[in-house]
Amino acid sequence: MDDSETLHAIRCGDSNALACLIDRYTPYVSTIIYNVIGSCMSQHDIEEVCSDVFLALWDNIGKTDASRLKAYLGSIARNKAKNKLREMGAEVHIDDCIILTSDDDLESEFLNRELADLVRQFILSMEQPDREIFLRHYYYCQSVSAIADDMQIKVSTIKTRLRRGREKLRLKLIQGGKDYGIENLKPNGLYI
Amino acid sequence: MELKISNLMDCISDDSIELSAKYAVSSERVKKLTLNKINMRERSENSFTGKKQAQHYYCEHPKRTHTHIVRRTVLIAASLVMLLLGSITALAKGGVININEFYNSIFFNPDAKNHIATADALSGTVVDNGIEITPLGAYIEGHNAYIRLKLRDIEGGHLSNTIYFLNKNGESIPAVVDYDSSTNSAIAIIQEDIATGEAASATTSLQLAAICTDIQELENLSLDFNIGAHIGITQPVVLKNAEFLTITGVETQDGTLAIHYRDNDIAKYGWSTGLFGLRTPDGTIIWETSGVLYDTGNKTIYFDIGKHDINTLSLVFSGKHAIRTITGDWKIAFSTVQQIASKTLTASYSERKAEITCGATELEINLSPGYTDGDLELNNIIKSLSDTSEVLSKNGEKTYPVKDVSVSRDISIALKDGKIVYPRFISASWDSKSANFKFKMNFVLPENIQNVTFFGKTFTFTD
Repeated sequence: MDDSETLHAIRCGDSNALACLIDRYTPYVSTIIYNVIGSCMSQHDIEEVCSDVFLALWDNIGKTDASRLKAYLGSIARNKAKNKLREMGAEVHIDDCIILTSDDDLESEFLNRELADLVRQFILSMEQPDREIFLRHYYYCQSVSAIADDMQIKVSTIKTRLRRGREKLRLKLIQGGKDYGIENLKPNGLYI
Repeated sequence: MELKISNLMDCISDDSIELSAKYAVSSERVKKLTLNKINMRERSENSFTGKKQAQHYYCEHPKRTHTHIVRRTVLIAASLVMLLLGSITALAKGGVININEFYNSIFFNPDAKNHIATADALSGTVVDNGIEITPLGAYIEGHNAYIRLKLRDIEGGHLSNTIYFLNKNGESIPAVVDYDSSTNSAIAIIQEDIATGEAASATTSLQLAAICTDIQELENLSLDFNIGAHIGITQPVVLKNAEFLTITGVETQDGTLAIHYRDNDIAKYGWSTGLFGLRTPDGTIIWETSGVLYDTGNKTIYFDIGKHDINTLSLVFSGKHAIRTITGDWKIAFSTVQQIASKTLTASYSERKAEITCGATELEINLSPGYTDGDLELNNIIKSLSDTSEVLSKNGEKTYPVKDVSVSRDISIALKDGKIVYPRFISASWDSKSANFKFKMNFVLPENIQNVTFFGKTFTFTD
């Protein structure tokens, strides 16, 4: 069964189809969770988070589109793993820079939506391999050395491209923020 | 307000990157956890609302994927379905379960007295790994056996909100758990899916293991260990309130503090994860975040203490006390058994005679006679169900291994109450005279089957 057929079977309440899907996507989901969580948690805990991801899929199966299934699972896996980290009082282990500061409440729904739009625009505007490197590091939380291994690129090159990406994103947010009426974004003084 | 890049990326949705799965967990375990959560939740809902089980309740559970088909001609075969995640207390809070109602309906229903195995039939209390387990009763309803257990930490500790029950093969067992705060004990009802045998009474040995997780979580436990006073210690120090930890050395160099410790008792005490930290005089805690405590042996944790005065720092620990495994072996007598007879029907299938035999846990469709390798229709069916590599047995019968599909929508069983069940395909075999297709399913009484549909052909029991 392909993803579309499998999702259809799951919508019919077929848990065996879900089992199929778990077989298919557990390596992907668990890799993302491990990337986010690192070695802070046991394998047992990571399996727990994995099962929560598939449980969320089961619960929201009506909203899931087969063509976006992988992205959907990846997004849930990332969020669940980050939530688990927060429960532990820990943070993602990558070099997660504070790129900007603002006096505004950036968690408000409006500003959040506008910033999300800017980030999406920025990611789409990036060229390869910068885009892949940036996503691997900041979305999939892959370490620089792991990215270097996977993409067969030098570690120093990865770091350079990440730094350039951060600079461009910062500029994009500051300039784009003004367009959206977010005036108070400013570079973090400690950020290089 | 600060913006971190990884938080900004929360809005991204991406599937363009192929990640190398260097760290992949067992999909079997994830399947069990996930499906058991679903099954447990729905079973609980259905138990207390009077609803019938959802369709997938009957579907094959992943735990069975490694189990050979065995026609149960013996007394009681315990095969497992799912495991509990989340306590009944939590479910009760969510309005899903009324545990008292559940207990009453199962164990104190006067109409069900004849089915309750007496406590005398159960073996006594078992103590293992600090947890006492006492079987309280057992009950058979239809083809489900419910066994009520009491679990108590003999040291008076609070048991986990999550307890997993496993059989001797390590497979999970469905359970609901409630906590009695007055006795600090957990009452668990585990459920076994049983197929009964030929004898009028039966005894089965039920070997169980339970895994208690999240038994205790500590937050910023003060270890009464002043760093400055222990620089250069030569004798190991066992810390009060943290006997699992022995400090074997403390040293500083260039603003880095190294604490050597031995956690050889960690496994015994079951700390699965933990973080060490340094508490400064103002209460701030500098965490060291790699404190995974599974392994025994000597370890060192490092802190960057910066400008802090070493004499003002003390050690703290936060962690999760988890994964205590307890085991028991009980002889449980069931006072009622019911013999399950397989049932056979015949029907015409593309001008061939077909037989369908329904047993307790399997469905076999035998198309015979007249099958030959040149039968295009059957070949197509077989190919759709089987892997491409065929195995040739000694007697010349071809057997194809199980294809990596858990269910086929082309084979369905209609029950008399209107539900549809989709059995799991197991194997196909055939020779020049017949073609056998085998499927496995959770227990369905053969007399409850209305008909079987096999690739568009419907077989109906005629008796």
